Amino acid sequence: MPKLDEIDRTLETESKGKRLISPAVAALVPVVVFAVGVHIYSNELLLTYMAIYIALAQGINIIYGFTGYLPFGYFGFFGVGAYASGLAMLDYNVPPVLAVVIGGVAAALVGALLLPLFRLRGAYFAIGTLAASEAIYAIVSNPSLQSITNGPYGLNLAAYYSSGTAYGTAIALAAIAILAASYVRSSKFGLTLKAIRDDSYSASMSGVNVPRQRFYAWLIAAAIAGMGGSIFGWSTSVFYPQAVFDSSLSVLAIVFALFGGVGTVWGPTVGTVVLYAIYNAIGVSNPQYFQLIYGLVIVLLVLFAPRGLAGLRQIKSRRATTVGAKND
Amino acid sequence: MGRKMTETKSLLKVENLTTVFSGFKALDDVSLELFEGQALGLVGPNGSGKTTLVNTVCGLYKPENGRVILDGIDVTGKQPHYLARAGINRTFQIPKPFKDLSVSENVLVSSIHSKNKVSITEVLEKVKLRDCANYPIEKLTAAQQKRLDLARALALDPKVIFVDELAAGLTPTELNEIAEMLAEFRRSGIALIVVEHLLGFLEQVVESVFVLSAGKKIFGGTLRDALSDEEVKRVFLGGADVA
Repeated sequence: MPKLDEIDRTLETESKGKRLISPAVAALVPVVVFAVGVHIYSNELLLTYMAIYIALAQGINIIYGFTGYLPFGYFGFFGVGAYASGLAMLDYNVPPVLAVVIGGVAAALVGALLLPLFRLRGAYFAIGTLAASEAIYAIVSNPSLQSITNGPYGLNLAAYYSSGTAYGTAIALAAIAILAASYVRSSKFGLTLKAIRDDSYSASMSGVNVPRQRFYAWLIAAAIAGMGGSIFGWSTSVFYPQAVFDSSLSVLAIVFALFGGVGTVWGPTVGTVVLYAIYNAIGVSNPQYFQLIYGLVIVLLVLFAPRGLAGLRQIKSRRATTVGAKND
Repeated sequence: MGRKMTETKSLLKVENLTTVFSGFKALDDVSLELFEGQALGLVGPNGSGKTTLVNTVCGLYKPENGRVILDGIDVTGKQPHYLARAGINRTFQIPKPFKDLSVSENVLVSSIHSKNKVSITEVLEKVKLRDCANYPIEKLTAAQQKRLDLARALALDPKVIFVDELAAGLTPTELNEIAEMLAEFRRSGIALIVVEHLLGFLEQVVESVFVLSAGKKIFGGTLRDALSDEEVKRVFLGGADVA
């Protein structure tokens, strides 16, 4: 076996360096901002939801940004997590933080069951996941399952409510999701996913087990959404099935991720903070103006920055690389 | 890489391979055998089944009938990634680099999933892309992108490579470079199946050809004999003299 020389060493060192420094910074900054922010802006529930949306946007980032599969039905995992953790608390008196983990595992298991959806591509995959999530919602909210899920009447977790702990858990989840996205971006696993996104057959001829690698990304994204749903249910205390199986959850998470820039680590976080802040500043009191602004943002995004805010930076750095290559 | 040729052994055996699309036989009972270090030209008019044969052996299509034996192991119907790791690889008529990755990262993807770890630098040297290691893909010429396809295949330590129309659009100098490159691969024991329309280039790189027409084998032998074969002449030029 020949010894690895400079290019190999550079590739190894680069990915090791990125694996250590970049994720830590990317995760630590939001943790500090949220920890300090709650003392400046006292609406803790809103900040909790923002942290959850950061996690969801990062989940979309992992599955869409790195594999190219857009899951419109992402909210299904959110709902499954909310119900799995809620029922774990109510029926088995599981501590809330452990219940959040159970919610993530349950969503990942449902993700495994939905694996055949990867036989579909593009819009068909997006619609397939939407249909699957609507089916799960129909099952969970079915009155005939009231003895198990409480049917259409939702769950009441008021007995487990603990705002500070829920907030802390939401921040931890956002940090975990950022770390996961960061790991995916800078690891060999992420490199493999990017190859799949570019051309799955070509990737398979590079020895990549495409279904397996995509499955891992899918499970990570599902678990993040499941834990997000769990924290949402816990911090909201009382929720109905339509609140956690709400397709607008997917739409918001997708728009936040796209606005910031998928395939990057900072993009979805920045996108969520900016758009969710606008949403709460305008959208709640004047939803008609918010819809207008939202529509404009999406149109501008598609026309001028299809790779989001982060894409503008990437274009600049890529231009620099190409100029460097030309000068070689 | 670095496998030394000691004695000629059979690397790839295709037996009675048949591929059917909605009742249409795109490949009809095709058999061939390829030995270590051998280069076989695969020729035929458009629609003759050349690409179907490549795609079937490389796992993109499932054959209706027949077997593919790689180095004594039946790999019929296996997934492309399995075949790539086992030693069957290919290049593409239209190069398929991973556009968001640099040249060296493109090769790294193969290297990560290779059973035998190879040096990326060594692979890039072999295809003369060493100086472009950090280039973005859009900086590469078409000829360089084709060589990158080869580099990705080499990083998986292949036994057999299907080279799909590598010569199309290349200058005479580039053709000579590629021919020398392929000869070097053969010397290291890699067997090649070269799908090509340029007969002059083919003459440089292969010692025998396999001619397909309408999914069936119509000729097997040297290129010179193929050019004087009546059936081959009829298929290519409707009976006119090919040479």
